[in-house]
Amino acid sequence: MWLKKSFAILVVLGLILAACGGTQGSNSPSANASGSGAASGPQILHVDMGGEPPSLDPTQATDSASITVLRSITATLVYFDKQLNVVPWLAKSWDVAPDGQKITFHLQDNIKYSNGDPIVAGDFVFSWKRLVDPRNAAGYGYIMADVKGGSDLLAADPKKDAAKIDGLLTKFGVSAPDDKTFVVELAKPAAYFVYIASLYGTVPLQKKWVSQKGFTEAKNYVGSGPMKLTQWQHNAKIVIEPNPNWNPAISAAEGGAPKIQQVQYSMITDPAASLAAYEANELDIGAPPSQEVSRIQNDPKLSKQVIQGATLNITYFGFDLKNPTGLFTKSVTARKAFSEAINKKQMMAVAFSGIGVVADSLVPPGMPGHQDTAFIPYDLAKAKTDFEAGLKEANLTKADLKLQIGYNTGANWENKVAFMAEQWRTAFGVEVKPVGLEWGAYLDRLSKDPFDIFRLGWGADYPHPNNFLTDLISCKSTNNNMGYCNKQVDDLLAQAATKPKLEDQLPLYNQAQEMVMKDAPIIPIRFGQRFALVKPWVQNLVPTSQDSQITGENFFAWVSIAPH
Amino acid sequence: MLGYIIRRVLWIIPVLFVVSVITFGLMHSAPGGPWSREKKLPEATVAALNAKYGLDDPIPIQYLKWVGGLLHGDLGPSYKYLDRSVNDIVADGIGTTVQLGIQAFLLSVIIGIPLGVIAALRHNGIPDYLATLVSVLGICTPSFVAAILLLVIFSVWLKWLPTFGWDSPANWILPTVALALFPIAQIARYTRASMLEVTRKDYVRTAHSKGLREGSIVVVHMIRNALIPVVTILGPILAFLITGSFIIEFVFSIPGIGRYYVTSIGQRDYGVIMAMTMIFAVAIAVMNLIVDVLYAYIDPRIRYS
Repeated sequence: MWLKKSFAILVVLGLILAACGGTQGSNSPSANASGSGAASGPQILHVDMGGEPPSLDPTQATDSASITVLRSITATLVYFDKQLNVVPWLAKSWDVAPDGQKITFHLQDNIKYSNGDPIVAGDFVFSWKRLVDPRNAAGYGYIMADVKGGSDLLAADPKKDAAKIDGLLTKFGVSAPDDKTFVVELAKPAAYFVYIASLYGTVPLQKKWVSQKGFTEAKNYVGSGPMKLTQWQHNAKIVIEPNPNWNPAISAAEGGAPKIQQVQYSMITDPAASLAAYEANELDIGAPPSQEVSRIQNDPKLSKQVIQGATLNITYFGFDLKNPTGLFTKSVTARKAFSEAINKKQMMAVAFSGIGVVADSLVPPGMPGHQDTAFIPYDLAKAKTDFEAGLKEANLTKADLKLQIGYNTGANWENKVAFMAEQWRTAFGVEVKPVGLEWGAYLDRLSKDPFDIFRLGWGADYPHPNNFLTDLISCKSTNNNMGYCNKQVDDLLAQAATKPKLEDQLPLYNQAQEMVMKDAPIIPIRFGQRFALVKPWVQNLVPTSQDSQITGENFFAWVSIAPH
Repeated sequence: MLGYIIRRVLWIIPVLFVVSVITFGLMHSAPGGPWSREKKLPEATVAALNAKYGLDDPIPIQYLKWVGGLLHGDLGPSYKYLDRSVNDIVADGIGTTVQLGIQAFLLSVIIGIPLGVIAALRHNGIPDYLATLVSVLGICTPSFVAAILLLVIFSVWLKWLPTFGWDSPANWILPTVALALFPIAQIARYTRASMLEVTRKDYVRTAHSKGLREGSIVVVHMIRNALIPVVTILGPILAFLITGSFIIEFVFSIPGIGRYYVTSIGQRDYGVIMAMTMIFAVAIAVMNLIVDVLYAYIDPRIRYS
């Protein structure tokens, strides 16, 4: 009894304290000291990059935390505008040879690194060779495969072929006839290649400092972008400030010289803590975890700060087509049946908190070549007949099926996979057993012996359908875990790459996609959607569907902060 | 005594050897590797990476190379944070982690022991119930729940303290409290139980009957003796605290090494996994040794030879 009473008193006392503190706290100086975002006037943007970036070496970086910073502190030959059209950046113009196998980039005048040295065409030659050199084992080296000599270099063994590599590098198809001209020779026509020149791996690097200093400390870092790296406290924060040597004429369309004085990237790995930091005004842009979506939507204040938009990625489930005796290898109709039985709309609402767009094809909306067609629509009746037909086609009985659906654990896939298994159970009376593996083990298993059905995702490196079709489902793609191979599709994709104009490429990419969907090697589930929170004082933020980690990251330099 | 300490220190070497062999073996037998990505790297690139980092050698050779590096004070490269060495990563974060651990340790001793003593002295009284309540809550609340709760109350609602980082002393408060909750509870319970036991001892009754002042009985006769079992758990608690708490560093975004305990395993960042395991093993071994030595000092009945 005593215990109860004293506890009740404590609780009441606590509440009173909390109430008093709330009214005072919001005006007290300590609130400003802690939540530096609350200060008015200074042009400082506070964002969360989600963790320590693995590498800010443009040649080595492969992940979104690194990219989000590299986008501001380095610059590529070409860039995107807000609608993701390719626009001049460090190159003021480029010519494509009539045979489509040579691109000549003409560099802008007066371009300098953050250390004041001029950026010359030879720096691109150095950087591109560094990217393709197998001794550097760059994660994104394969984007150089289309350059003349690129695939030989990428295939060379750094130990056995050590003697050969230097020779191959001299023959690699990049050159700088003068300081302002950078020439790329391609192994075959690749009309999408100018998009490759927008990837952060292709930024210019100065040989002199790359060979002396590393990329791991801010004081050594020489960048080429509108902003420069001024602070890197490992595992804590990164600060970037305007690069005084940036030529504002290049970014006239974005707003000229950088507007923001400082962008502070914190490294909060826990999504719940990140949201708390946003709500405490310590962050200006938030990315809430999906469990919080409904609370935010019902919150009168937070709901007004939501920004939504498409992102160029897809979640899909692939079928294992490598197992010679498997149902899905033997029968296209069975694959269709399993696709038709999934009510994706309901799945989106139930399992994805309503955030996302139902995917019925591969190329996402917002990317050229997207087709707004439900190629394999939800149809329970047809699914049932197709399933029976599929069993006959494969010469199997229901009892023969011991199907498994694979997913990676610790990423909230359990409910989604259970939803799908349930739909198949009700439609076909078949048990599909969910098997979850830890991420590394899961990826290992997919590359060796995939599950009958397995979850994966794909995000755009550059906004061109080649990146979603050739790089994902062509016969030779390393990302094609399904083992799907249709020569006709590959032919169409190769043909599309020879057309210099996008409008001539798109019909071919569309044909290829239609053919893929007829073969149904995957079940597309969901196109990505951003659900971000942005404080009202953040102005001129430009979210694009290419943002990889933080909303608006590609154009942070031109954000301004209103007094608040 | 000195001979005992030297023998114990020498014993740490085979212990570390066994720990390192087991960890190395387990780590390499887990499927996947540091180059597993959702966007798969081409096979040639993976081969090149393996060659660059010596991951194409047989496992025993890799182990020997790692031991060789260790003996020269080189913990090898990180496979996740490219261009950075494990030495760098550990050097960057260990100070923060140790600072947080010591703060939490001091806090838990300063609060935990008096809490236990008061509870025992007022056995079955209100202070006892309150202390029991605190320790039950401290033991039952998982640290990630406590951490988030503290964060929401003191940072989001009250806006008194910052939510993340380690720049200023204001940043230290919440993580230290969150990390100390469990050891406070643990120490309070041990102290209380041990005090209650001591209360019934003959020498305490003798002291009372001799008419000594209550204060000196409690301090000289009771607490000193009651703390002997408590000291046993302080060692492991300190080792646990200064080797960092994954959860607390994760929730409060503290740039220590604690976060790497778990993340490095998922990333198959072999060098970091080994470094973390060894640091943890050394810390536990050393703490246990210190406790044993302290034991002899506090308890006159114990003598090592």
